[in-house]
Amino acid sequence: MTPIIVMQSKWSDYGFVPLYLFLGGLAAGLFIVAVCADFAQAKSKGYATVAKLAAYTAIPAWALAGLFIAIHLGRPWRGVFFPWYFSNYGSWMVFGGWALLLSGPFIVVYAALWYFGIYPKVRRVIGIIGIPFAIWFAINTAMLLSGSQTVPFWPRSVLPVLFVNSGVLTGVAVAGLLLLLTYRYLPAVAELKQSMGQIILAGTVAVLVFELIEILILAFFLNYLSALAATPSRMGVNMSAVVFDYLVRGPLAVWFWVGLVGAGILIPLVLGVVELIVRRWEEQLAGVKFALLIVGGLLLRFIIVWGGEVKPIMPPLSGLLNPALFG
Amino acid sequence: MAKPLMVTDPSAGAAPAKAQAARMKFYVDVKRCIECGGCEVACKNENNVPMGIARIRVVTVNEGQTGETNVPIPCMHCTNAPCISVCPVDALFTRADGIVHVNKETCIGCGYCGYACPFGVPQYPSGLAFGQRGVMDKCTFCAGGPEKPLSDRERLMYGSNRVAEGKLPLCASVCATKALVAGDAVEVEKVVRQRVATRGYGESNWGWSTAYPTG
Repeated sequence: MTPIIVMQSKWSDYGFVPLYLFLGGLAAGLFIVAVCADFAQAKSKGYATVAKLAAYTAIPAWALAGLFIAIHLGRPWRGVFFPWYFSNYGSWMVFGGWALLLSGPFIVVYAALWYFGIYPKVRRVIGIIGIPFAIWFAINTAMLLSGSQTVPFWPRSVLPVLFVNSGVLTGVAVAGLLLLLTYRYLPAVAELKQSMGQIILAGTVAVLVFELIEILILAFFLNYLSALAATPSRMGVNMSAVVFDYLVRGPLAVWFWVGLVGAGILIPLVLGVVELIVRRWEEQLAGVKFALLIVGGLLLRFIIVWGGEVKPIMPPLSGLLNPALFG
Repeated sequence: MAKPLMVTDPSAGAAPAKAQAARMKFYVDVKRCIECGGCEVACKNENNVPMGIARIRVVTVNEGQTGETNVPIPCMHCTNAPCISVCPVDALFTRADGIVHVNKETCIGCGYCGYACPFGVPQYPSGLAFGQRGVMDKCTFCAGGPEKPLSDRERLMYGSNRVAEGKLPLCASVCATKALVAGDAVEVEKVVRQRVATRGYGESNWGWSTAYPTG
């Protein structure tokens, strides 16, 4: 059956929603990376720089995520002042708004404490308390989609864990890339040069672990769609099969296989393995790897949103003898 | 024999008795739709629907292939409407007679209902500055909106209120093949049951005469 896009207005039209999903996950990931690097300072002072970079970058990522999700509304100001307007606590958009709002203070205060260099113990406590909020924020970017209930491409069992994992992965990539691009110009350059090899190695190992997890999740996702495709639909049209084809063989196939799987996952994976084996050109290899991972994370959000536009058309197409009455 | 077509027959003039207590429904018979577009034009004209918005659309599935099917898609006014459950600001609600309405004063134009709706019914104005989505517009079952019935403001914001005038939605009223049936769920169900029973005799028995056994 021909895939059908019945929606007149789509979240991907101006890219604001996919960007919100990406930046929301990134802000959460950067915060988690910052806190982890904060605790890793005991091993090497260079991690303090990683923590600072990640903590500072989490602020614009979080702020832009909020800006983009507000801009996409027909009435943006009501989104900005959502506590006064959002009233349906059965809607995941309301929870998403609160997750965005409540994770903000942790991200901002944690970065501010790094900036002023005060109260390191308080900073770490805020970091530890803030991590669940950051994860909750990343989960809510996925639940915004899954909560719409009728989209076969947005299963609740896959998207939250996929988005949290991707958020941490892109968080590591952004922090790593920023470190590589800036460390020569930072005051602690001498110290950083000494520990750079160790930091890159840690980043590479982290990336490999999260990439392998992402591959497993994507494999589960494809299996989920194809398994449902084997199940006859009571509507006479199996939309899981339609969406599966749309992703792996249809209009999204190039974006998915070449963009996400190829450039966004497999090439960075190979680069990481080469880096570990060869132990040469670490900075160059890591730089390319991190950049590709960021592109992959962005593509993932766009592909997920694009795929969600293919929806079941519910009228009884098989309905000569069985025309269901809706509602 | 009952006269089920009366539920959408404009000559019948009136909505079912006890309209306020009724559960108003559309039934879409995809075997009858001939994609004439009469429902779309009637809806646009009756409700002054803005450019770029279609409160009812005829979607053709498998066009040019075996099994080509035309599906008129108005709002189905679901009993458990997913659009209502996802709306963050409670702009969508169900009236006592089962019609799902949107309050355009409350709607923030997030587009969430567009993804929740299995029929792709919610529509948004296009061409606004900076690509803004505007607030949602949808089929009202020709029952106006949450404003004073038959007022100018209601007509301007939501279109006509034929239900308040004792009439049924114009799209179903003008449907030449009665592919669209609208009215009280009990009455609509009778039509559906009759068609199922009629077609249940087998494919070979299918035809206009058997589809309308009462003539």
